[in-house]
Amino acid sequence: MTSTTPKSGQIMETGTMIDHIAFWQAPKVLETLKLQALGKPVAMLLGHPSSRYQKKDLLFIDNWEPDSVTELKVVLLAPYATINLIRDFQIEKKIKPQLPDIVEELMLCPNPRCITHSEEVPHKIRTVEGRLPFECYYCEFRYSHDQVKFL
Amino acid sequence: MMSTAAKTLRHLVSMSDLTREHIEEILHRAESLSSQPTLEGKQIALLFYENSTRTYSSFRTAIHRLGGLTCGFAGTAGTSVLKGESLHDTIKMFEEYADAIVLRHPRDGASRWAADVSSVPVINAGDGQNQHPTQTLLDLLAIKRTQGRLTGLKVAMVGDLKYGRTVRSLSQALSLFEDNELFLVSPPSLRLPLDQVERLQERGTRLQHCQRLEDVLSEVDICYMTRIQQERMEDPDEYERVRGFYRLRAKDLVDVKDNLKILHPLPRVDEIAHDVDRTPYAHYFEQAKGGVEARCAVLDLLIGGPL
Ligand SMILES: [Zn+2]
Repeated sequence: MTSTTPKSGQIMETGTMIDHIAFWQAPKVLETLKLQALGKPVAMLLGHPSSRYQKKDLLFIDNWEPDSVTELKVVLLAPYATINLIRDFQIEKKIKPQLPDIVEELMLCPNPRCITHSEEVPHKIRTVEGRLPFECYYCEFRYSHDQVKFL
Repeated sequence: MMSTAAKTLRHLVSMSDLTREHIEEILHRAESLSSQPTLEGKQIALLFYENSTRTYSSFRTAIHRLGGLTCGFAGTAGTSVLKGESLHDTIKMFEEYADAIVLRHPRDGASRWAADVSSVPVINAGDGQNQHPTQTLLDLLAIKRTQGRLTGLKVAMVGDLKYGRTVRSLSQALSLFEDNELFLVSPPSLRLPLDQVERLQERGTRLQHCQRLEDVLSEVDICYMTRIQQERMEDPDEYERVRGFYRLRAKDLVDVKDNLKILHPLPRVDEIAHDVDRTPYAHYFEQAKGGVEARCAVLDLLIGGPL
């Protein structure tokens, strides 16, 4: 394997390449995309050499484009990810979703004692600076990317 | 006269809602309110979903002292909550005839949710393991009263710094005031979580981690003791090993500052020996008595009428 990122076109004509996923996180991102039912071909590259992060993962999904909610989910799980839309063996568009200050009705608070788990409460998670970039609006529990769960 | 702090504060849910100006305003009111009837004609709902006799009586006393009336419940036995009524619906019920709601709830975040649905001010009297802001305000009141200031202090926080919510809130509040230095005294497995450390350091508070209380006792102005719960320790042998380090006895208080005061959120187990009670450094019972005044000040700030 060479140390350069594979050209998307070497893999597919049309689809989506998600680049710069943290090492060994691609399976989690893939699971979140819920592609199984669609039956799309998927290629996963784990631990590819990266100049910036030493090792990174990539996902290639044939003949598929994410909607805006899915784009947001990708960046919540993989903060450095870029989403590349592929057409005619070329990168047509690079998407880098911006994080909102509050993510509403998308993420579950991982704190089992939180009020959101015992009562019908709109889910709200704040995005903050620092090592633990998520904070539940209600219980103020702070957590990291690897504890992210979606509704 | 209404202060600007009063105008911007609608609920008291978390210490993170409070600025330094709010804290100063509340402590100032705590000192100046005696038995002024600023809650005359007002009804305050005390909704206590779990028993906490001390906090409940402290709030009730504060409300009566200011001339207000109380309704609600202490413990959920015999209430519609037992029949499965949601917190949302209970809040909607009580806001009809209460001017404010004081809420104690076993779930983390319950007070923020209550504040979002309530049309009247909500005061958090403890939401699970998350926040208990009036406890922190009474801690600050004790520090202010004994030291005359909230700046330039050396404060030891001792015991369970990982799970103890009082330590988390108090350290955050002290970081709003300049030149405070915190000595974080705990066993390695109960250290203050890293994100908390980062938050304090961002505000320029100096921190020192230490494992033994005796190493810092002679330096500090305030020694804030907390309980180490055995079930929190990963290793039972470690509990036996560390509990001695964090047990304060009168004979440990030889080479200390004259102005040293020992605080504790109470109840204590055995981390402060009873012989400490008779030293001039013990201040935990006076600290607890300040709870009524701190709660009077919060009630007055949020819903008190002009005199
Ligand atoms: Zn939560």
